[in-house]
Amino acid sequence: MDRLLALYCSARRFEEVQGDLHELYRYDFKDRGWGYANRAYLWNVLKCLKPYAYKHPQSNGNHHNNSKDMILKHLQLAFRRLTRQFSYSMINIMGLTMGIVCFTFIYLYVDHEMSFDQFHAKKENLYTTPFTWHFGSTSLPTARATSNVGPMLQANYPEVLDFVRLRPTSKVVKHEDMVAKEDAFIYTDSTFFDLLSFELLEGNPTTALVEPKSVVITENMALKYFGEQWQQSSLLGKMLDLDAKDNYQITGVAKNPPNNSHIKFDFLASFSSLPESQTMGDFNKSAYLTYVELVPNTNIDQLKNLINEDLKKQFDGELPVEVGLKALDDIYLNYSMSTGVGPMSNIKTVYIFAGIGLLIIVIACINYMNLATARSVERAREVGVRKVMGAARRQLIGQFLGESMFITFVSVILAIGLMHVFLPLFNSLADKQLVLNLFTNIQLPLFLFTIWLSISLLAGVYPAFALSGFSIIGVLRGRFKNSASGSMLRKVLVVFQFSIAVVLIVATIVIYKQLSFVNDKDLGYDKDLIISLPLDSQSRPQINVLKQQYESLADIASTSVTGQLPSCISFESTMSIKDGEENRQLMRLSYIDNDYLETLGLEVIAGGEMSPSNTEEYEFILNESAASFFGWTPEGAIGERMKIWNSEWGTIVGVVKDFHFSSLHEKIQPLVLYNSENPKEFGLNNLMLRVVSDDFEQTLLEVENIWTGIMTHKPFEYQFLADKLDSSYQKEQHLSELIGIFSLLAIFIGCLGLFGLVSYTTHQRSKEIGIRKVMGASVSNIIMILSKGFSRQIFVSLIIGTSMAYFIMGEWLKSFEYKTVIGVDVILLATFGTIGISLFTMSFKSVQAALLNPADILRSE
Amino acid sequence: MKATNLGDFEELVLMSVCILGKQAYAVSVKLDLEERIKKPINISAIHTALYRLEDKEFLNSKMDGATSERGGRRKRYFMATSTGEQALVRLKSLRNTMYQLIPALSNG
Repeated sequence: MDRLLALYCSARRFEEVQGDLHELYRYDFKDRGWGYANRAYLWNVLKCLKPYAYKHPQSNGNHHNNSKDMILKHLQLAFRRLTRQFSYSMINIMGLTMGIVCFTFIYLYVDHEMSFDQFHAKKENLYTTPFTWHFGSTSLPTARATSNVGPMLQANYPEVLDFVRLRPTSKVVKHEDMVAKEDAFIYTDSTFFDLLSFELLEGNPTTALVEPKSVVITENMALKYFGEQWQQSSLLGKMLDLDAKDNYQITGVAKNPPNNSHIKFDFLASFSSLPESQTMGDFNKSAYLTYVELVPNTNIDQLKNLINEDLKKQFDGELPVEVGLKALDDIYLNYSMSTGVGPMSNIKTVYIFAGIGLLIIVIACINYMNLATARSVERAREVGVRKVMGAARRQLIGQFLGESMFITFVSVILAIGLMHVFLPLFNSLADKQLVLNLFTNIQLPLFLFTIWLSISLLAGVYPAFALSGFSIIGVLRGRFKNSASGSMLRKVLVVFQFSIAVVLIVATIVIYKQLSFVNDKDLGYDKDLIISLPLDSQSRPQINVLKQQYESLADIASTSVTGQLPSCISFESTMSIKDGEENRQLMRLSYIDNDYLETLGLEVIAGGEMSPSNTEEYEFILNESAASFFGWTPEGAIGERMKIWNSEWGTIVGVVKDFHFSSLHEKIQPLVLYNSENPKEFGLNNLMLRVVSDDFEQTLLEVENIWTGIMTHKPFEYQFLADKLDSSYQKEQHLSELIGIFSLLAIFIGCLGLFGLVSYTTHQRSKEIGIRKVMGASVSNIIMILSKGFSRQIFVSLIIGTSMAYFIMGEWLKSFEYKTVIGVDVILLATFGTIGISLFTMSFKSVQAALLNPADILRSE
Repeated sequence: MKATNLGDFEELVLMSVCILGKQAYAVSVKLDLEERIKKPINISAIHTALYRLEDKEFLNSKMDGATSERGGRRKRYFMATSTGEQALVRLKSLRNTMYQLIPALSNG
């Protein structure tokens, strides 16, 4: 019982209260006996739990409430420490600053990616309808639905409130002198502005897209076609000339679509202008990105099943097509299919960057922890004296945390400055238009504040507890040494830091290697020096004239018209060698003309002679994969018959060696190239020119002159095939650049920490070095001794880092069907790189120390 | 401050301290009061009142007089200060004045 009393009772009151209680106990014991007295005593002790008796933690008589003064004092001390140990503080601040800059940039990036499509007011109820086509055993997912799906869903299912279809295309737009090809041209339903929250500056959102041949343009386009002063008079009612055959009336001016929209447009034309708007549409052409608005809280899976059940009935039990429902705000990050109306990203990339950002900030924090604990010997005396003077452990922890908060605060301020400098660079690397709005938006300041607090804690907590825990006596008797556990932890942390750095280095090298592998890979055709000129349906009558004119140029070896560029043949249709539904096979195909094989330099295995003048009939050239797919040898395939478009028969006249006609992510698929007198309209899309010339600019000029002479309706445009190929690996390119930069930073921050540690240990061991030198050790001996400890840690981190990177990058490479190997060369390069850089870092201090005159060091004692 | 106010129970304790003179400490005050008002009082209530009165400067105290009953611990003896005595007098005269103004009681 007395113990309970002692527990809560303050020292000041303890004696008298306890005395009183004991006296009462005696009286009770005398009068009423032992049992009663005990009970009464217990009762009294409990009753004495009253304010007058409590311990008051903050003011227990000896200490005054002086926290404000103490905080000021700590700040002052932190500032003095900062100026006195300038280099040490600089290392910390630089590391943390760079860490914060990276982390904030990555935060901005991730935040931007996550914010996509969040601005749509109806986003919770908006879904898009991807299609999956089934042909025999193959199935083909596509983001675009057929034109009948929207109306059909709205008519048959009460859950579907409304729909909007988007048909992206490209048009040549002309107004007075301004002519340009516009790629972000979308035909869409009049419900566009109702479902999707894009804003109109001029015009009526509900009626703007109702009438045929009406078009809404964005601010940018208004500026482009109507000049700087477009705002001075209304643009409504002005006419635009499209493809030199139609006149569309402007019925609205829209705000530019926000950066974080997966739908990007410059022109919106009314869907009613399209011929297909007149009919209900069928399941033949899936080219319409469709969004539906559902009743809130619809059960998506149930509705999807219902729709597909009904479709099954409609197709007599066989389901050639399956309709999906995908939430609108999921499209940007979680959709493997391209929509064709704007940028797409991948949630994985976002995770990768978030991970890298975290790692870098952790590396910076580890620097702080290592340097702070390594200096514990110096600070131990301070801690001891403070404790003797009566500082509680809590106060010491507060002091050390205060220091880390101070350092971090300085870093955050510096980081804000640096971010303003480097934002444009980051934007160009990440291909984004991010902005820093420190003052207009609460989010970023809040984020920086959180970073400040959490880094101070993360970096400061361990040193604070470790340093404040020293025993007074040990410290003041001077028998203090770095504890074994402390230095062990430091070693582990250094290993951790360098492992991360090594992983990033290896990742950079592997990505770089893969990209150069892709660039140098023999694609099976000659991609250099081929330029391609896009054509459209109206060019058709002039194509032959154009070809002849170009071929007459000395610098042009050959020309060829084709449906799709050989770098990305993605169009698929059904082919069959026998009649009957079950024999239909989905295959990639592209239109070619007689000069195709020669222009591209494809290697012909069998046949290859196309009729000089196009005959009525289709003629096919297969690649090897296609031939073996149908079970033919290359020679055996010649003369076989095939059915295309499910209606027209033709003869196989040649087989070419497999070439890469799509990205190297993909295995080479069976491919059918066809030639015909009357190719479908979408067959003639590109004119390829093989240029053999020394003066490339001159040739290009001639090519342009001929073009403008013949093709009056279409401005001249050209593209190098090689560029086009490169652009299909743009994502990887960006990734490699960004990861490269971040790994450089990680290494740099890690080395900063290493530098700090080395300079600290050499400083500590300067006497030892002096004595060794006196005893005859050579400079190289001493450098060896000094760097030995760290070299071991770096070696361990190399082993950990490379093996981790090997697995991670192995996974990444799996996304490529044709890939390089992570060979010994990569690992050796990373190893020597890391060892080299870290030895270089260490040598600064160790060489300096080794060269010192031992007399200088030893004299001072 | 309301330090000049004297609560009902505090007044009793203060008076008891005055009566007990040099022998006033928590336990003696408790026994004295229990005798007078014929009701048990918990020691902690006495403590509270005494410390309050001390804070209000109606009492001052000193530590003294260890006895064997207390296991050798000292007692805190309380003495009324002059402000304490004045407060009692003031209260009494206030009561008297008001008492006389009550017709039924003062005439009877």
